Amino acid sequence: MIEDDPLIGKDIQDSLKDVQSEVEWVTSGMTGIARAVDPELDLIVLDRVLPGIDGLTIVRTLRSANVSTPVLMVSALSNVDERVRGLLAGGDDYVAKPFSSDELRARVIALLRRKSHLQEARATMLEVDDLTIDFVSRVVKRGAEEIELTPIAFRLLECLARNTGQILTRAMIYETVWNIHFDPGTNLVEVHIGQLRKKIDIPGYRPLIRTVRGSGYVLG
Amino acid sequence: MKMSLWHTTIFRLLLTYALVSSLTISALVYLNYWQSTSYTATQADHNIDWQMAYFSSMTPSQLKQAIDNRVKLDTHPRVNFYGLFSRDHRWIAGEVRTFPDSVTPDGEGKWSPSNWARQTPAEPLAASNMRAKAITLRDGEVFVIERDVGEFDRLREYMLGCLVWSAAIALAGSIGVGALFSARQLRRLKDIRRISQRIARGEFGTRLPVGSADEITWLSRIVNHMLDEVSRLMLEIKDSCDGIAHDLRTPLIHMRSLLARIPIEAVDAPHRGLLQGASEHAEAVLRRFTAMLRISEIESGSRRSGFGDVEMHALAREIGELYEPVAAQKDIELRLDLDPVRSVRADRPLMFEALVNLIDNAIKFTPHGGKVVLSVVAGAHGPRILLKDGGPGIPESDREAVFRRFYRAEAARATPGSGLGLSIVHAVMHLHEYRLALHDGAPGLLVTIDCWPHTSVWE
Repeated sequence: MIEDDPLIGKDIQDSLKDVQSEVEWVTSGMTGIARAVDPELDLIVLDRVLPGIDGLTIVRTLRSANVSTPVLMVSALSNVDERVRGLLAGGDDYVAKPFSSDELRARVIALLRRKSHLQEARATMLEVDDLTIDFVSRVVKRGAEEIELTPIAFRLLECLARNTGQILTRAMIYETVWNIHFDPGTNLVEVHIGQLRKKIDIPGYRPLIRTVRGSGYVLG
Repeated sequence: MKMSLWHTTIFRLLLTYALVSSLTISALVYLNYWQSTSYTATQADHNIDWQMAYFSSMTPSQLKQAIDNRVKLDTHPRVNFYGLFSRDHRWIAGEVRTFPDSVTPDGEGKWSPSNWARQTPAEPLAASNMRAKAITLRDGEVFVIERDVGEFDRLREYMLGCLVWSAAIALAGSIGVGALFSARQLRRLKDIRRISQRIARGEFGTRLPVGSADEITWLSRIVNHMLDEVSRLMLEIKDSCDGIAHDLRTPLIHMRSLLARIPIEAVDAPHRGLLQGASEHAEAVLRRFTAMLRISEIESGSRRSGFGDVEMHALAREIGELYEPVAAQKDIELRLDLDPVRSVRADRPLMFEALVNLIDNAIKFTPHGGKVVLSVVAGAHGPRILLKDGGPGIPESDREAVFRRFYRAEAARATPGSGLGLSIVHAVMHLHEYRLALHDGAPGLLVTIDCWPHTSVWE
């Protein structure tokens, strides 16, 4: 973790306590960049604004040095352009300060998983319990029963299924499923999840879509 | 307002100057003409008088002889011409063969056109003005002397010509120089207009060009200084706004997170409501902060770089499909009437956000079982987006005010929301220079967005 703000750094540390991980915390860009090239690292949490070298330069340097460790950028600069800039520089995800610890944790887990399941993530077929999803033929089955889904519902299910077992926050769903980088302020996710639930969690089967209160949703 | 040469001060000044000088020169020419003419007449009359005195002292036979001698013997280029006529104006002697019509035999000098035949062998002079006088001699015969003042006339005309030409050249010169200067000023003003347009769109780093020291430069310096101050203030306000939002958001996020960590089962039933209420309020405050920051971000115009070609019908379809289940939840029929329209330059994510806000409002204010219609049609200038809901509508007096931040119409107070949705829509449309209007949907509210009218205020 490269973060100069002691309070935010503590927040990040606390958020990641539940994730079985070891967090190393450096507070300046200089030491940060020296540590970040270590191939043993699983993930870098990088503050966008740092004394000395700023976050964008660090992530660019890492990428140009072929360091592919996932980078989660954390920034108080929350506007959409900043997000795009961070991702273009080579960041893998971007979370605006202030964030909830659930949000941060969910995103960190997603990135860690993406690293370890890079192949699996691009799978053409996924099975979650007795739910099977064929991404090529776009056929969804619960047991032997085929389920008809609208394109929107299918994209939502795909997003959940590719991240089976991990929490997806509302913001993550907005971003990955609908490419919405603002909070529409409506219960859009709830409604669509509700619709999907009606289709997937049919009576007689174990409910697969779980709501994690205050955080988001999880499949499996 | 259209910028043209005519509208520049320099050009108008120079034109006025040219007009005044041409009037002055005309007056001068006229005065000159009048003065030189009367001078010519006086001189000629004086000369004729002298001749008259000489000839009239002779006897009739001497006079006839003297005239003939003059005509025959004098081979110099002649200026005086003589004629002797009977009482009834019949020719007797001299080269003036016909009695000049304008002349009376009273010794008064008159102008007379030269319409007589010459007796002299010398080639006839070009028709010139003559000054003529006639007197009645003692025996009743009439003696006429005509004096050719053509030489004077030509000199005078030559001089006047010079004057008129120099005046014309001076006039043309001043108008030309005026046009040149004005065109230069105009070019500078057009530069200023172009740059002001960019500044108005949010490029606050841009400044007006400052050239050589003149009025426009002074003005530019004043405006630039003002812009420096405005951007400094804006930056300060933005910084403090962002700072406040940031400082308040952090503890709020923590609060929300802590509230969410309280297991609901551990709370006894009467207090669950309180817990939920607290969570909801924390959420609401956070949403407002986000929306406020969002509006200042859009209004700062920093996102103009994100413009691309956008098909409004495709965008509307996507939003319609996204909101179909939300509408269905309230038994609202969400109808999409989408004509394929040509694409326009727009920031797709921002237009998406604006339309999401509008449709969200439309569904929120439409009662159960109502109807919301989203349509895209080809308008006069570009695509037209129409959204009609089945809600209470907005009274005409409130339609401007609803775009203000935090304004919520009377009817909307009972409905949850930040009161910032329409401000976001307004900011987005302003950035695009699209026309956003609210109408009476009779019943409900009808929102129209005219894309790309591009009748910019600057043209």
